[in-house]
Amino acid sequence: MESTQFTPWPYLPRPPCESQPSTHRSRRFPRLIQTRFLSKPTQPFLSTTLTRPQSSCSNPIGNSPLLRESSIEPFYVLNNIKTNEFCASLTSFDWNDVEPKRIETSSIGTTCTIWDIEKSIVETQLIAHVKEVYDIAWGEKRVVFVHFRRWGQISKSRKSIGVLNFLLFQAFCSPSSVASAAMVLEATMICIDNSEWMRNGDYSPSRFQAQADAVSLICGAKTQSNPENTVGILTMAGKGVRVLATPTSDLGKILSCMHGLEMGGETNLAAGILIAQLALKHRQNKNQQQRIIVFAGSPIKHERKALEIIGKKLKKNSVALDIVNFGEEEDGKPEKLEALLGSVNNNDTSHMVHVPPGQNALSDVLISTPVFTGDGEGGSGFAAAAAAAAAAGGVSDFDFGVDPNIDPELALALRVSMEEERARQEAAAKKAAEEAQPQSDSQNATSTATEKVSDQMDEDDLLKQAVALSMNIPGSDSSAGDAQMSEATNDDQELALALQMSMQDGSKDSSAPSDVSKVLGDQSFMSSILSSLPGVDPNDPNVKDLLASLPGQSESQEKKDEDEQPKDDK
Amino acid sequence: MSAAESATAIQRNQVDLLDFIDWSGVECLNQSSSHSLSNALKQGYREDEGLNLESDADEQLLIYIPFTQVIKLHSVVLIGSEEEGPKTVKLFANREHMGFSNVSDFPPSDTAVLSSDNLKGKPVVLKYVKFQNVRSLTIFIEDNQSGSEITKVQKIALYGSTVETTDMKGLKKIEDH
Repeated sequence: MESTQFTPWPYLPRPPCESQPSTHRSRRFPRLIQTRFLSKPTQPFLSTTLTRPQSSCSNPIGNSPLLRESSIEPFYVLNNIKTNEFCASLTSFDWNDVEPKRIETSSIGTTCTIWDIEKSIVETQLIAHVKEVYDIAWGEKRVVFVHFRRWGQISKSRKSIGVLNFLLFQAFCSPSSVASAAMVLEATMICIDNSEWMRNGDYSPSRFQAQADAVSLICGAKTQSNPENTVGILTMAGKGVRVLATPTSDLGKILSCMHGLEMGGETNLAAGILIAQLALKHRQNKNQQQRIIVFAGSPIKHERKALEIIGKKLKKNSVALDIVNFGEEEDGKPEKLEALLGSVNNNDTSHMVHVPPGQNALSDVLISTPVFTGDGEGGSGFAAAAAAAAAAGGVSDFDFGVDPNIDPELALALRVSMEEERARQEAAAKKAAEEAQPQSDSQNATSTATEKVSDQMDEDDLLKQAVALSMNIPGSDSSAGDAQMSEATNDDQELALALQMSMQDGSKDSSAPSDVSKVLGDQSFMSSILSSLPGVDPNDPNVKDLLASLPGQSESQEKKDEDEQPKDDK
Repeated sequence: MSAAESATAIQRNQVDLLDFIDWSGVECLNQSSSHSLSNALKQGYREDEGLNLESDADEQLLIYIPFTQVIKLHSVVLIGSEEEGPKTVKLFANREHMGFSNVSDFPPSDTAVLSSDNLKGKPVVLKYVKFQNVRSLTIFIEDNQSGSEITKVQKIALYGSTVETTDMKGLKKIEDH
């Protein structure tokens, strides 16, 4: 099943399957739930049906008790094939967020089609594949779309693609920006902060663990972007600066030396950087560019002047420096680090990243920064893949692979799209976390679990939203269409609430249909859903009537009052 | 005067080694990004007085020049301004990938302190015997004339001959000053 929100498309497992229904809720047309019928071979039409749920969920095939009550009326029928004998199952579909009247579909018949809904016509067809197209999605920018051919591969756009789209695709990816798509040959030394300050738990699970995760990811990214890259590790605290691994391309060795690291002592930043520089000087392959990545988590006891001198020394020896400012926030720390960065920086090869404490893991935040992506497109493949993996809640080995070499424009498009989506998701998740805070103490656990179980819970979420929407119809609906961001936020929020409710009910996440009725009958949950929807006033008489009809009236009143408080700022 | 005559005789056989520089391996540490080594080394750029090689963080420069074949180095020409031109120049033959930290670890093949004549174009004659079999040359500019923060070099030219082939017809006469 696919999710309501954008899931980075390579990670949607989508083997061709006959009559596999799926739903895709548009952000712009919230009341339209598109139902895609993967048509059986006997059906004559290559069509997409947009439906509007009457009373309940839109899953047309299933055994939920609610479905029997529903009826689905077709809203639009888009049909492209005039003759009867040709048919092809649709594999994927996407709404264009910027221009809501455009949708695109991909099919097993090797074509992708872009439709204009309002006119019910085909805008253009893309005949660029020789095999089945399994997925298609709009990128964040209007004109970029990507579609991939088979699991694990990406299509390379050929000139036979509809002229309009191809040209726009080209225009978006300006050649000058991808000219530097070569993988940079680099030797990197990572300076880890393992001082006592790292015991703090404001980054989950602890500062030190978050740092360790980020380090492993960086190592992977570097070695993957260029097999000849080398990475080394040293610790700055403890009894003194200690080099755990000199620059090596053996990823296993690097990861194993991260094991069993102890926290303690105080960080000696200056010594750490200087020793890192020394280790880089003695690298085996002198053709490698030198880079130091410093995790500055504890307060800096050095003076600004001393740091500037170090910076100049690094610049003189053409060593680039990346600083990750996290953990302890101290007066003057950002200024000192800025001074250090300023004295090192030569042509923007050095970067600094501030990671405030919060819900997102350190590594997730770092993925979209230049620490991972490098100066050009060097890390694009791994970074994008890792970002997508984090979003999907799992680790995948899938790599865009040869993108930068063969198709740099495509790589750029993928990366930008992925990063923007990541940023949006993080913003949404953050807002959801803030909103949900006062409601339950189990919220923290559920919020962090949200991302991981998002795939499983999506079906539930869809169903609940459908119910909520259908109940909402007699009420107000004017503001349903605006501000797609807040809608997405609500999705997260409702999802979190749904999780909370399911946990309280003791029901499992995976058994979807049987829980739906239980959860929907839960009045407190329903009231919170309704009160969280934009344009729904909990005091609206219609809504109140609805809620009263649900069992457990008195409880619902209390819960509503409780919910109204934190939701006032919406 | 025999020494002087023989000196000029040697000089006549010397060729500008610009053609034998392996440009893919040329490196310069501590150069300013807008005023790079090409301004001082490359044909055309080095004649332009407005285009200089400038240092960045401090006044030292470390230039590494590999050659496409083995050469013998006879003399160098370093042109710069009176104040910001280089003063103490150390040359290392066949030392790969040096850094500022290990310039003092090896004795230089030759050291030159540039006078104002040198800065105007007078070649600095080197200890020829030390540069008989040169694959790569490292030029370390330690300081400049006035001690300012930035060292500016307008032109760097190397004169010598190749080891394998010495094309007599291709030899250009170098003017003596």
